[in-house]
Amino acid sequence: MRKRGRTADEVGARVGAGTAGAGGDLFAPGPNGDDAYGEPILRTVRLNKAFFMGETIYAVNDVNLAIEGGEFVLITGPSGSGKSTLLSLLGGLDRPISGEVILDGRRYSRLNENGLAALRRQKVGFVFQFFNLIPHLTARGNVMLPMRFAGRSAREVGERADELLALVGLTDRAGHRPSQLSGGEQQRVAIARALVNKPAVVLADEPTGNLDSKTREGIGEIFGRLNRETGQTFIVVSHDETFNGLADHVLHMVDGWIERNEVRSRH
Amino acid sequence: MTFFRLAFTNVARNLGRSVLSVIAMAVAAFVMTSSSSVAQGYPRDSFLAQRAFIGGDIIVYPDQYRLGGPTASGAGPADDRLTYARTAADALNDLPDFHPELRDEGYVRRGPALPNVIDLRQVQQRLWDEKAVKLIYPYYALPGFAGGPGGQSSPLRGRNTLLDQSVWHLYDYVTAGRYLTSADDGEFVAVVDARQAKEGRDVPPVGTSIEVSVPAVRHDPDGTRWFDYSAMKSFRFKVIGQIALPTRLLAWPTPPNGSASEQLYWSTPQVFIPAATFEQVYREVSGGNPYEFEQLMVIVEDQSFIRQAMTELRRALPEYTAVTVADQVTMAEARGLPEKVYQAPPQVRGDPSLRAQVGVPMDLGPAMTLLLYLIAAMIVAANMVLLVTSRRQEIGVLRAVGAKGRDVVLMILTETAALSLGGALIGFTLVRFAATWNLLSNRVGLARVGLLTLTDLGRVVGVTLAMAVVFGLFPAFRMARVSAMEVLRNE
Ligand SMILES: Nc1ncnc2c1ncn2[C@@H]1O[C@H](COP(=O)(O)OP(=O)(O)O)[C@@H](O)[C@H]1O
Ligand SMILES: [Mg+2]
Repeated sequence: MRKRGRTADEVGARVGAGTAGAGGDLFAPGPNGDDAYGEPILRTVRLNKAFFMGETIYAVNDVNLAIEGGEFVLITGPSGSGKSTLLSLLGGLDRPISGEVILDGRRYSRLNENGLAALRRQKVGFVFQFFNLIPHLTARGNVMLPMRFAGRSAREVGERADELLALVGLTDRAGHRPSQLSGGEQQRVAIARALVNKPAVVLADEPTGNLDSKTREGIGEIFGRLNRETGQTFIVVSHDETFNGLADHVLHMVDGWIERNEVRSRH
Repeated sequence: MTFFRLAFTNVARNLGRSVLSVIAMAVAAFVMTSSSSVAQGYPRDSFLAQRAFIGGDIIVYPDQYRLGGPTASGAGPADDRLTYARTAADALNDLPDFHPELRDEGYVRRGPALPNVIDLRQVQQRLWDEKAVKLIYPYYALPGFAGGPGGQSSPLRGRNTLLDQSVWHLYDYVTAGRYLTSADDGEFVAVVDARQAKEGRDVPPVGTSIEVSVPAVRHDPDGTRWFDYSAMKSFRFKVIGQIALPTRLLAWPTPPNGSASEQLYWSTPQVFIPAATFEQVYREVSGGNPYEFEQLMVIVEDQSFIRQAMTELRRALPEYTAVTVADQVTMAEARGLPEKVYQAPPQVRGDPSLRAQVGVPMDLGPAMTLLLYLIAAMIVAANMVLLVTSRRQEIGVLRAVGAKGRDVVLMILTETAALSLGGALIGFTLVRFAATWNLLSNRVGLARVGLLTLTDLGRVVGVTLAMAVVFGLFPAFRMARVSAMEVLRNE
């Protein structure tokens, strides 16, 4: 049984208020906006991103998305189809050339760089293929980092970090540096770090791409468990079968387009 | 606060490179801390007129006073070594020219029983090896009164005609007639200061003669010399020239948009005669004794390193006092104009910004220190650029997890500052340790030593932080532009 996060309800209310009358037709529900869970936590409206490398490459091409709070979204597609680019736009790491991303009622186009940084801190957790841990900080230090930037007290942050390290099963590795950890362990630290600020959305770009098959299953298991238990929304780019079983929303991208947008029934 | 922690961890993490930066800063701070004793000099031509008039860059006189006083038994010491002189003419050195109040307030002189003359040969021997001192020669002066006893005070001044020509170019200052040449040695000829007329004194025209009365020189049985003003002897000199010693220009604005200026002069009542003639005069008033010097003139190799010459002199002649002409002039100027002003309105005279002059003292020590600091700061900055560039990815991660641009700037500035300060403190401690020891062994009070240490520390820390911030800004802002996208790049 799926536990709906508190966040999702709050978000729904706020998005409704925020977008009423402001967006006009541009903010009308997208092709799959009308679903059973109310207002989506993450929406994109005609999102475009192009790179100009001699010729213009549309890495993300007119993407309209609506992702419900608590969904486990899997993004698949061939290499170069724009998955990473889309993810970076969703997380506010990069700016689109046109279109809008709305996360929990906040329109990215209305935020400056610091506003985006704050939004990332509060609402978004990232997990990368190359774990991207800070090498000279311990596992615990790495997990604490986003909270520290959010200005929390050291004690509060420490407790939360321990809690998360326990969640990913690394309590006994808290004092180790990344170089002293295996790939799987590093990725689990990265996951803990992504979750530390209780983000509404966790974005993961090929989180198991660098891991062996056995470790992959472990990561998949953690993602599934977190998604079920906390109701956080997961958006995962992966070709990994492990995630296919977990996903209740699958996007297949080709050449920047969403070629297939499949909302599965809950299981 | 995270960025502070990160910054300090980063310092420790790149220890090798950090050490380089630290050493560079340590050297700079070392030099700055010791700069109080490092050479300070003046530009080549500064205070030229004053130096030419006095005939040297440094004045040396034998003033090591020993204060006497009543002994425990109540009886005064047999040798009360100090007397208080009130007659300006008694001072056979130039101090009253720089410190006019001495003329009114009197000044301390050696009393009897202390040698008041300089053993020139001994001094020259002791200074043989010193490099900064170029030439040392005696200063000739005798009390004198123009127009006979009771006339205006016009000290007789024996000039070294050779040096006046070749070093001081006193002929450049001639306003009428000509200056003394070596051909005049032994002749009863004189050069006077034309500017004295401005002060209401009689200045004999070129071609006339001037009569100067000189007191007799007596010697006590113990050898002490004194002047007997009751037995004066007159000498007549032919005036062959007049000079004027321009020092600087006082320029002031005159509303609405004009300006006015006045050339200032160093003026002196002294009557310049050739040194050989002077010695002849001295023999006649002293009953055949040779001249005994009370002041020596030192010409240095280079005014820019005059401090080095001073150090050498103090080491070689511990029982004498040495002062630089440039310092004396600077000091006198700081207390108001030592030169007479005739046109400039009184309110502009005290304004230092209005004095256009050649002789602005140039403090080379701080300039060198600043240069060293700049180099050190650039080493630190270059290191930081390398360090932070190798951390692009990491900074991208920080951005991705919510660090603002400001956080990154602060982090890098903190790191730069920590490195620089660390180095500066090392350099400071090294020097300050020695300096404190020196101060304490010279019986300087603890409170004062503490204060000096704190002031020095404040200066070093201040300059270091300023440099760190200025030079840290470049790497900091460069890295603040790194976007969170960096973390996705290396797939
Ligand atoms: N920074 C960039 N500069 C130029 N082209 C880029 C950049 N990032 C991505 N692209 C291009 O955009 C397209 C989509 O890339 P990406 O989103 O990384 O695909 P995926 O993650 O699905 O493999 C590719 O053609 C890629 O070459
Ligand atoms: Mg990719």
